[in-house]
Amino acid sequence: MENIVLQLNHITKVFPHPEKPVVANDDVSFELRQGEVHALVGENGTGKSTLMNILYGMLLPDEGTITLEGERVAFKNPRDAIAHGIGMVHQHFMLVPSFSVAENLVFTYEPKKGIFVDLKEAEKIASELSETYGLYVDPKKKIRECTLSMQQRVEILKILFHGAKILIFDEPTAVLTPQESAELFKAFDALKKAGKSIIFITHKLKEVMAAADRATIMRKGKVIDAVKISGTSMEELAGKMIGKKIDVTVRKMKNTGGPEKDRKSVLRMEHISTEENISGMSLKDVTLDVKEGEIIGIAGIGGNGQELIVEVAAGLFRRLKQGRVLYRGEEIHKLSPGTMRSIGIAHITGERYIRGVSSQSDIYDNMVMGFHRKEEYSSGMFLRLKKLRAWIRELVQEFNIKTSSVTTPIMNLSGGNVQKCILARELSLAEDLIIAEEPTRGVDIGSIEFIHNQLLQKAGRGYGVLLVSTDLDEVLSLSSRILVMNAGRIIGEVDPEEPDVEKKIGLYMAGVGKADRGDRE
Amino acid sequence: MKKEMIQSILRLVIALAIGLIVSSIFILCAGENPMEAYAAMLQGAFVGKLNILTTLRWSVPYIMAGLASAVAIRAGMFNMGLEGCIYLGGLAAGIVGAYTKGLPSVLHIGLCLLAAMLVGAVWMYLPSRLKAYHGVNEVIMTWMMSYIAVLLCQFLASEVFQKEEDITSAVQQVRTPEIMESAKLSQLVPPYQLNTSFLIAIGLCVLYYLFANRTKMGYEQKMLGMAPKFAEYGGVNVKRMQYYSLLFSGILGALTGAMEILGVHYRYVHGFGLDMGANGILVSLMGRLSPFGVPAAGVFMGAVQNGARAMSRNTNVSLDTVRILISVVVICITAEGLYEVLKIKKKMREGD
Repeated sequence: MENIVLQLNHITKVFPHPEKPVVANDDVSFELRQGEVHALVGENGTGKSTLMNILYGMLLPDEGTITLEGERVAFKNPRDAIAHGIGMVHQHFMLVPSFSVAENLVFTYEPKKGIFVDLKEAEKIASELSETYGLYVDPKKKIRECTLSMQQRVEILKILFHGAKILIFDEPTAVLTPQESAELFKAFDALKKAGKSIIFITHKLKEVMAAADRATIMRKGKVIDAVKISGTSMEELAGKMIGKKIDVTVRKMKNTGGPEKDRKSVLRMEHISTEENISGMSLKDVTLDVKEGEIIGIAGIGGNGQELIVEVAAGLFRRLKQGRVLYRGEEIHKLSPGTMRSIGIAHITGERYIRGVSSQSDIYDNMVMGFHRKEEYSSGMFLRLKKLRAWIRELVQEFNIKTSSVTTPIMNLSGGNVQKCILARELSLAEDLIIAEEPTRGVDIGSIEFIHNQLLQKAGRGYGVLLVSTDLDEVLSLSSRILVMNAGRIIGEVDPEEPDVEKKIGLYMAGVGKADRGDRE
Repeated sequence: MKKEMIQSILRLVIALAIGLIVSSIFILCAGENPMEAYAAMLQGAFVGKLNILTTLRWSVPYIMAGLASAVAIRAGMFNMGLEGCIYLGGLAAGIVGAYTKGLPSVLHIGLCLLAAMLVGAVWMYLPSRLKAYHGVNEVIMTWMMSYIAVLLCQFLASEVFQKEEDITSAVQQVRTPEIMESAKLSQLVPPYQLNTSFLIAIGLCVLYYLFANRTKMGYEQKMLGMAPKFAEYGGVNVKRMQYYSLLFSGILGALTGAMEILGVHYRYVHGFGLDMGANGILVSLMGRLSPFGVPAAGVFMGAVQNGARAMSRNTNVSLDTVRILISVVVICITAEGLYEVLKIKKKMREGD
């Protein structure tokens, strides 16, 4: 008989908004049993994080109650929740980069020696905890020198040190390679044995099947079902998650068209090395070739230099140390972003709300960018306002953007519709090359289909597409070829149709390339 | 469009109401009746030919300085050095107006304005260049250079251009010789001070409207100010846009000063542009950079300042009280979040 340690009863949470209030949680109930791994599954934006933030004391529910070990509780803030034995490993780690692992671990609960922090004691605590739960960390290392997976382990140990009995993991595998994810799931087992209960938020079904005992599926703020993993299948989960049966491993891109030799190169990077950007990343000898009619997928864990490839290709990062970039055979790496756009390089940016749109402006102002310089829509220094307005209206219709008028502020649209605005603008500006960076991140499932189809159509019509995505399924399903990045290099190339491709990509993502794989064996 | 208009008018009314309420506290402290004080102010601003024309006369430098500031803020920068530009422009116009002889009026005025604009551009060249191409903070740069400019003008006016006969015990002022008749901007309704610079200001507002709403550059400038990353990604030449925006802000600032000298003072009088730069920034913020809002705010500012003079004449309330009024109004108008909160609260109440 398993005990129920935690119950969320009929939680409702509405975020007020002048035009359309968002019901993030709609009468949600959730049960966690002692010593289980319970997956909370759903698409992005279905209210999983909201629910957990309510549990963790960061948000107050509008309705509903929380029962912890049979007692009704209401947390006013995270400290309150921590005191009740609830801990959360956030997607973005809450660690101090310049502090050591041990210092981070005991942060705000430091062992004291007089008025000073007792570092020795802290390090002892760290190594003891590390041993107890089989989570390896190096107590003396500075956080900024640790890998992401070690940082995650520090986070886990930190909340265990705080005395957590219930651990919430918010998308823990987003920053991990498949191999590191497997390690994490092993740690789940150790934690279970120690009597901890785990809530595991994710939208990756494979991981649910691999790691969880039970799963609660959410869709559009509601709980659809709670199931035992041993009695279900991935297809069933997917069906519940998105509301219709789909094949989760479909290949949408068909590698057809003439032999490679006959196709013209659209974008070519030759031995590109760059200076470091703000976050200390640089490209190292990157060579790639996008031919017309191809979708080249760039896979890799986020922050391994993908954004730099995109920025170099779009002219936003021009501090090259060596190499050249060719577009339709002509050198472009010295051109400004404006010139690059005018020669037909379209860029669906991954920084949607920072670069992709001007968030304080309306739909019209956001979609005009780029067209306003075209001869068709301007005469001399003046804009042809009527023509521009008509064109934007046409685009809004063509791309099925749900809005009452083009003067609606862009932030009143849903994430999917904002992305469609960007897509409409960029695809219409494109002449030969489309750079698509995380094109469907945080977008609802209907829009994902639409966006994928648009990209495939463009490739079918002979455009070259450079697809950069951390969503492996997306890359696998859309690409003609896949390049994997690690630490600023292209570490390997795979054919998405070869067997065992995921395992191969996983190894590449972890930095195990062709060159040094020999050393290890 | 209509909804927006109603909203911005509503915003103004609320801001004004809050401003009046806050100021009345201070007026009460001064032992006066706020209602009487405001009545005196209103009368001083709008009742009678003299008062109306004086209000309009004062609105000219505010509108001009407001436009000058708006051009920079629209591109996401603050030109804190407007005042320096106003003095420099005034001095340039005053000197060219006094020492060039025998030109027909139109040419002479044109030459004076051109000289002022040139001086403004030269003065703003360095900060504009450094801001746009080297990322130096424009606020500190322009602000500090403003002090230099004001003192430089004082030095030039008193040590180089001031004539012996202008130094009298009656007028202890630093000033340059009177400008030629041909350089004077004619008064619209003699003998009142309102002059043709009013028409120039209106003309510039129309140009500003065309630029802001109808041109490619106007669009790009707006996007740069609202979302610099989006503008860069969208292909706006960010550096060039910043450079020219700041430069033009300086040029318009210098023009403001020149129009004051040619239209009202007829000679460079040191101190003529006191606080004009800061007030220009306030006007542009109050008018929310809009081609309609800036002139409206300029007239409002002129009315309040002019009315306040009447108020301080007829009551015990100090002239400085209007500064409180203006400050509160600016804070209320620019506090975007305030209205969001009001709107959401209202929606939530409707929802219950």
